[in-house]
Amino acid sequence: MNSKIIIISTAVMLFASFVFLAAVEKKKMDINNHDVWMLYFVDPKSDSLDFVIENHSEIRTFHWEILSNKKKLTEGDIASEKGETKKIPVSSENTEGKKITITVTGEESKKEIYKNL
Amino acid sequence: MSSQLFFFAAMLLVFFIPGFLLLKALRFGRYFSLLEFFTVSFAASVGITDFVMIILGKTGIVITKISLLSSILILSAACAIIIFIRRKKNPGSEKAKDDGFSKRSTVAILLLIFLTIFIKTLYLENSIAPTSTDLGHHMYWSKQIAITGELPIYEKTNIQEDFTISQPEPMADFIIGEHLLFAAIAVLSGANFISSFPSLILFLIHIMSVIAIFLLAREAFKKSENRDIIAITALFFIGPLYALASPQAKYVSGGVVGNIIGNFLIPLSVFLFIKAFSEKKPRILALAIFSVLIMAYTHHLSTFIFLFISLFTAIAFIALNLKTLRQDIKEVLRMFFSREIIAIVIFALISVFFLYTPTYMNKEAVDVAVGTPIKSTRTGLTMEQLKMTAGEARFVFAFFGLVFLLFTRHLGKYNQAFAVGWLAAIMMMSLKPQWLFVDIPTNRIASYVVFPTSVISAFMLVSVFHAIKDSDKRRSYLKNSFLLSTFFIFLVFLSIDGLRDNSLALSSDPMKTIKKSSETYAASRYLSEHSSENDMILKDHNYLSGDSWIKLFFMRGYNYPLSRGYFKRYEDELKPREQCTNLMISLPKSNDAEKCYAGTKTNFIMINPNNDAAQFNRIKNFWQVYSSDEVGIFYKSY
Repeated sequence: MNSKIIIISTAVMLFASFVFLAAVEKKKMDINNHDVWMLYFVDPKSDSLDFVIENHSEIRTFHWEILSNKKKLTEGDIASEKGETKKIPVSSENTEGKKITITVTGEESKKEIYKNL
Repeated sequence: MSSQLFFFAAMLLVFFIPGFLLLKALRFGRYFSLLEFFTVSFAASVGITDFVMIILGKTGIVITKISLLSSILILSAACAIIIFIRRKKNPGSEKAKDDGFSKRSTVAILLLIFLTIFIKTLYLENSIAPTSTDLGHHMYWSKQIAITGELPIYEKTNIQEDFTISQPEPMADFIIGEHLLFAAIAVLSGANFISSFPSLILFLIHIMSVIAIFLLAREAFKKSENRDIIAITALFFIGPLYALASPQAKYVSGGVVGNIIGNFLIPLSVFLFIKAFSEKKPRILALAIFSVLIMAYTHHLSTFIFLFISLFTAIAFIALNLKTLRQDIKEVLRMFFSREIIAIVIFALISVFFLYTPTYMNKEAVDVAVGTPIKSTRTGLTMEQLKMTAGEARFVFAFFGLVFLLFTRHLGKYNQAFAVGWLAAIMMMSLKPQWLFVDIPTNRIASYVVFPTSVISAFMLVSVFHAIKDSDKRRSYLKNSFLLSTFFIFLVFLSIDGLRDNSLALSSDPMKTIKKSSETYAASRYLSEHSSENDMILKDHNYLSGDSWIKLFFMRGYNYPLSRGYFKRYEDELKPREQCTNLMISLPKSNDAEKCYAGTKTNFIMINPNNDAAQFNRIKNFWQVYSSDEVGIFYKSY
């Protein structure tokens, strides 16, 4: 009889622990809880300059600039909610032989990606 | 919510139901108390799941949800029918043995189990996220079983001297039993490998090992009038105290799969062997051998250590029972030549030689583990280091307990021999491996010492307590109050040491690691969607978190992506290794790196931009195509 109590109680305690740990893990591994954003090219291998801002932070507005050999070509602002992925198309005209850099600023943080075309 | 229900249902199917029903059908219920039977059933279920999957794989049946579920259910249903028919014919014939726990003992056991689970849960709260290196490596193989439905072929590619990548070559580092259970759960429940589920499985097995230690302590000191107190004290020393450091909760979060399973099967096997020999039951001995067989299919080091435990137990038995040795040997041989043992040995031989031979059973792997150790990490620990590994206070008590055990009578000859042999074997392997020709990293062996030290230190502490309690019956030169306060000082000493050990294991900033790992996984997802089999990726192990899990996003081979390992590995004179993975990140512009890029066809580099971006920013044909706080991806345009 006492063995039964021990087995059932252990099972209940483990079950509670597992449910708790699974919930904690889910929350902690949710990238939206890590205040981070990413910048990347839609196609990393081709000459396409279209890029994506993937926002998992509290930042709501991003400012982007496109530079050709460090000279600003164009710029813009984009609003993005947490969890949103925003794609920005960029023309590849007259970029051959140049280093095209995409710089994105969100509040204090800044990220850049580039291709040498 | 439904995914969690499937997960728990899969756990019941894999870890509890088949073993419980098979052992009941084979009438093992009458030999054990309910708690013992429950624990033994767990091991049997592990073994059954392993063998069912191996048989499915070897007979060419794809391991899918349907094939696995129906195999387990058919086996379980057949057992249930046998049990039902027998019960109908002969009701009440198979009552479990009385556990003999008093109410007070039950309350103490429940309290200790609660504290054990509570403390370990608190620790795991910060480390449950799937980030550990070992677990990532193991889960690759489990995921491969789950997605291909076949048994894995353990092989990997290497970078050759001409800078090209070799054809896959066999590797003996992994053993199938380490991966089948996770694959089974994933196949049955659909659980995602990059989640808490692998760690939860390890946690479950770890808690079962704590219970196995408790049962073993109870069995080993069965003839002592303080049997339950010793077992409860052992539970105290292995449960709430020293709960986190290796090889306990830290191994759970670290994903040291083989050790965790081995640390359950070793005490359970010792428990079964003691019970079989002391009760002279060949059927239990057969179960003990089955438990060792599961171990052999799961973890080579645990099996290797168990062989030494058996050897030292035999030596201890001979030394302690010289007068009755001839009679004892006759008894043991009679048990070994019984039907049950012959049957299980034939099953083991067929399994190993015809069904599936564990990867480490070859001459090369044996040569690696056996020999005179040369490397400083393999030549043994000092007594001081072993003391720290075992937990200072616990070790002191166990050391004296070992000596005390040798002179204690009436414990039962097998019980005494196993208790002495278990601790002596691991101490000798840890302190003087060269005497035994053991050539394995010593700290890995030493981690096994915590289990026998918990049991024997409990025995020692309770013996001291018992002496105090009985001192009024005998002539004593010391006052009772003095002895009682000495006992409590010992207890406080042990508790403080155990709790301090717990606090040392706590990670300083777990959230930082989780944030970095989730960035690694996001980048891996991006690369897996934008690359193909023709692309080769190189990632860094030094500054990326959770990087061993990256391969699970691609499933393009165990060594895909290539990895820059720890820097010291490239300077190891005893084990020279390829330099490409280091050069391609550290010095990408060098001539050798260029040859490496050409030979391996590497075109994506995944690094931490805070440490390794500068050298790529200076090279024209490297494009930075991905940027986050902790991960940068460069593409090499040829």
